[in-house]
Amino acid sequence: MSDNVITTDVVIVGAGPVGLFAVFELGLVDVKCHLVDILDRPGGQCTELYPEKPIYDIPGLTVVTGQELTDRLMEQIKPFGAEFHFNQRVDSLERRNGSFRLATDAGTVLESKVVVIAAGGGSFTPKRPPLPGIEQYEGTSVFYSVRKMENFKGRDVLVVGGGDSALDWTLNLQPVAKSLTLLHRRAEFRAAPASVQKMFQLVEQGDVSFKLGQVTALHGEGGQLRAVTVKGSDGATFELPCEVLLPFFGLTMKLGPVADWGLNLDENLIPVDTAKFETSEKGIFAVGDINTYPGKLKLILSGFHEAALMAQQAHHYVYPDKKLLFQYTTSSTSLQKKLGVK
Amino acid sequence: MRKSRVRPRGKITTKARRFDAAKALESQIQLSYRARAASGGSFSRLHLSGASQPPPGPRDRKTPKPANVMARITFIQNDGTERVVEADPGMTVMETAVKNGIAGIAAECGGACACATCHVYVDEAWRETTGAPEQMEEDMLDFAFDVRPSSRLSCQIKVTEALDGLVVRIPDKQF
Repeated sequence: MSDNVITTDVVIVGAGPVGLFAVFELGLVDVKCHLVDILDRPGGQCTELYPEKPIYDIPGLTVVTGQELTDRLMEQIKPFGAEFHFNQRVDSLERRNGSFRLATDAGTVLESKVVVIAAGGGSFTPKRPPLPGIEQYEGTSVFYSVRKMENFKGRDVLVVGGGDSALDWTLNLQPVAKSLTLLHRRAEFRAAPASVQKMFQLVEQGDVSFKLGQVTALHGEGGQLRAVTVKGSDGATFELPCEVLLPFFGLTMKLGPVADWGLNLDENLIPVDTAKFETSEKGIFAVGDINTYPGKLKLILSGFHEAALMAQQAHHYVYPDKKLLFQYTTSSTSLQKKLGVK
Repeated sequence: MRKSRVRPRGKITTKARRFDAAKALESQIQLSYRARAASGGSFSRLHLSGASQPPPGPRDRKTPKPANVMARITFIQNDGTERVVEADPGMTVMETAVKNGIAGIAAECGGACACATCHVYVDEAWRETTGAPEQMEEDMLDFAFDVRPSSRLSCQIKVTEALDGLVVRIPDKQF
């Protein structure tokens, strides 16, 4: 944990396209931003779910991919020097003396006058296999990520999956674990070929056991896993002893801690007004897919519009004594200076 | 220190797709996720099937088809409840399900073959007509639960007239 509190004007929760464009609109009115995102790069769903897919409804761009749109937005907001905190999720938000204090699960603490929630469909979290009773093993025998390798020392580890996470942790945990078994539904892998090759090498040396199949049931007691039932590729089932299970089935979107921030919610969406896009809490705004209002459309372009209007009110909170003069980037010398084009 | 995450070196879901980008563009539905989300569209008429006999296969369909409808799809939930909906050719089975409010088709990524939450089991009689998954879809099925030989991602099955009468089953849980 860090005792250093980062102070800024606005914290934007979520670095998807709308969060990024919010930096632009806030930047034009001299408001500085920090962004927090659980992913390891900007773009949100655009880069996580469809980096190569064409988007056809961004005004002025006949067709643009999720990755390209993200790259262009990053270029567009460059003049404003926003700071990013990736691989982190904002866990808590509290109001204190006219400002907000946010803490992330990585120990970053931010203090700001305004909070903008641009969290889209929620934060990307690991998928939990729908196996009966899996909850009772989570944190003791079932893990969706590896925080401390030592926790797996001397234990019988079962890794499930065929992507980079499954392969990377197979390779990394094998020297630490008492035994390591990799279970996947087929003999093909999406992971980096080098990792796959290394894994098969370890299998050949007898250091890793590779099995084909899918987990259908968990066995154990008191949160301690003893074995899993596996349905093999031939349909026959068998038991596989293990103390630790690491299932890697990709990510899904969950609202997450936003639900606990004391905001009014409507079916996991945050109701806002359509003049300022402010939530039920003064100073906390919600823009993009995560908000709701009469007529709401979950479009990137709607999020852009919401960000522009939000910025006007955010300016008022950051500079209560300054009157905001509406200006166009085409003609305003001061805006052009901020953009670095004059 | 940077924390260890689900993806120690990141980008699982993107790699396969970058690799297959050209193919993806070619085979994908023509509308973007967000454009479709916006379109709303009109709802097809719903039919509640009360028949207890097994749904018909590709060749033994008995009920006549209205002239303006190209394909009807039966969705069977894990608890056995069935719904038959009309599908427009060119749409995907996932889009048809979402448009008709079929439960159990989450379609989190909106049809980008990037999330495996529109997983269905194609009825045996229809497996040949719907065909086998392409590489990208097969890769993405790794992220689905209880994958069987009849597993498909419904966002990758395009409705054609040949699929009139298609029967798909929805898994108990998509995750």
